[in-house]
Amino acid sequence: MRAALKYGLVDGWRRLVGRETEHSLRQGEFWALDGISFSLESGDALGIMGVNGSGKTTLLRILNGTYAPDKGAMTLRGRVGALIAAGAGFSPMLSGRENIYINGALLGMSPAEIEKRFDEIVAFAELAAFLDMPVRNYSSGMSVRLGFAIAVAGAPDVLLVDEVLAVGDLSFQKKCYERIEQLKQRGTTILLVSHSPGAIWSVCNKGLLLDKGRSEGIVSVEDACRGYDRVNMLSRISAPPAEPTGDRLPGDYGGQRGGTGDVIVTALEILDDSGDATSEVEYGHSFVLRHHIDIRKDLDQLILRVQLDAEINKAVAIIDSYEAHGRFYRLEPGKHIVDVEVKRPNLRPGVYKFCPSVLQRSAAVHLFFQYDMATLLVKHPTDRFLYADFRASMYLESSFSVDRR
Amino acid sequence: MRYTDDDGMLVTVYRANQRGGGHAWALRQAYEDLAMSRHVIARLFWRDFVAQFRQKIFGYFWALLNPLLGVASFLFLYVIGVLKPGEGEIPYVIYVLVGTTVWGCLPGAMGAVSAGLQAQADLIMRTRVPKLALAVSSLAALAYGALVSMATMAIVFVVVGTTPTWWFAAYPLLVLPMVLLGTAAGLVLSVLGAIARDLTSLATLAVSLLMYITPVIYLQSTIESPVVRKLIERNPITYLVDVPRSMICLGRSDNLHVFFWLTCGAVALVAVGLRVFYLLEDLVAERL
Repeated sequence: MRAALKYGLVDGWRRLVGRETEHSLRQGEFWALDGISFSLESGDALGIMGVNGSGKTTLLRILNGTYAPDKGAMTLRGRVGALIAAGAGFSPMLSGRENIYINGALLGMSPAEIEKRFDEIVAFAELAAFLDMPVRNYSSGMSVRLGFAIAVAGAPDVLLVDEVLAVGDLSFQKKCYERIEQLKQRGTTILLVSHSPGAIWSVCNKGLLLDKGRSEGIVSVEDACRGYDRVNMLSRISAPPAEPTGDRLPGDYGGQRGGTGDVIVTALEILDDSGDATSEVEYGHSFVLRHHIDIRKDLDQLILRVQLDAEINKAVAIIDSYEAHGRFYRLEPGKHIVDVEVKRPNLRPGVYKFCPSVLQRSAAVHLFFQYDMATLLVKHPTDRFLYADFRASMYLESSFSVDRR
Repeated sequence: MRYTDDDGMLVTVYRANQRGGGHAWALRQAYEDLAMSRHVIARLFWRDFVAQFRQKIFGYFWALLNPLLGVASFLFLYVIGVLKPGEGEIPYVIYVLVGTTVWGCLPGAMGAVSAGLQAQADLIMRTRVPKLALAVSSLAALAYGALVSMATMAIVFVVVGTTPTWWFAAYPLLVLPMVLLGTAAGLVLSVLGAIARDLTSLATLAVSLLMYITPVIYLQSTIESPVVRKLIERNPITYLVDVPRSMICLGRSDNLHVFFWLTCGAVALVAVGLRVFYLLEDLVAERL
């Protein structure tokens, strides 16, 4: 805050005396956007994606004229509309009718244009019966419906949209998307910022992936979604998995690891096709889970088990040595390496965590267990676009046939 | 920068350090911004005007009640003998009423414009309305404020049994220099106050202190201290308050020429204020 005040006063003074602001960064400053360059044609829809702090909102605000660039320039041809918040500027004391006029003016419509489109706005918002009611008595859904209806009533040449595409119930959301599609057909260029690959893919034909203020330029919308998902996944696996904390194991199930102390999995490595340790594999590629096991006492009837946790769903798969081979292991005291090859897994792109455990048939308890001992990122396939639901973990090969009866 | 290309399409260019123009550029830019946003300014004024009287017992009567209550407080001090303004040509009630009404235009305009950007922060972030339009949109309220003031003064003139001169009809023009001065200060504060938040409070305090060396509620002739008399004489606001009051109540003033030159100065200060505003407006958005 102190730096913001100091830099603000320094920058203000420099501008007032005609000395331009320096482009070199000062302590605590960073480039919110750097080297971004793209151009769009009429009717293009660009999906701008990136994790929080990647510069999406800054880009939209510069395009909107809210912020001025410190370097470079941008040119927008035609009338620009901004759908950055449905209902921005609504006065709760005033009626829906009065707010249509106010909000329409704020979005750049002339009084004549608002008058001309008034009925269309009311019909789109489906609020004819509540038009003379103060907006403070509207439900949140009614407010955003009215806000969206006003925002898309104008016919901008360039429309800047920030995460407000889908509002209201399902049928109204569908109407919103249809309206956006109509605008595209009429030649409106759309720039949509969203965290939702589904929304981006539905609306956009091009993508721009931002990562820490940088971008490699316009790519296909599918590649942008894949890239976004990958950056997202990488940020999630950046935290290292929990390391074993020595030989002393908690003797109960409450913690991250536990067991009897007779056996300890000291490390779990993931090896790729070529036998190198990795934390990422290509979609559908086999990998090996290498267990480093320290046996403290002669143990018979052992079962090695690995639980696979996805980010949302736990235990999406279990690998169990007895299920795989129908037999138990006997291991003598000492250090052992056990490799488990996972062949052509049909895991969907995502981040998975491995939880190894050792059991004994005659004892109904875990001799050892540890959660999140290794993390694996499964990359997006390049030959297909898996976008449907990031919560899903397994991809099932399937075929579709459609017959008209 | 905005222009229309050969196909008649509006082209908007955002460029780094594009605030290259001087005061004339600032005036032209302000004209373009305000002309383009005239509907927005009108709607925002209408929104705030209508909303402030909704769900109130006295409704629109509050517009008259507020200034009348302001005068009543000075009258109370006068009646109980705390305030000794001295005897003048103008009845004291009228003197105070016109003086405070004209004076009120300065802090009124300054407060409206300086708070404009922060009050409309949401619209700055979410719409494409020029920041200048949002900063000065509250000024529209001063226009109806002038009409309300005229109505209030007319009522008091009738009650006191005094007739104003024809200059009364020119009241909006007579207070224009005060509004311009307040606008100029407000424009600078609206951007500087967003960088250093206490600047606006300091400026408001300074204006309050300025009132003490301006003959708003007392007569200049009653001041005995030569230092204070000098301060009052050197204070330009003295003439911006006294000349309109004298013209309205007496139809004459010895300082009309000073008033004219001060008006020109106020216009020049608005140009300076606009220039400062455009130079610093980008810094504001980053700090809202």
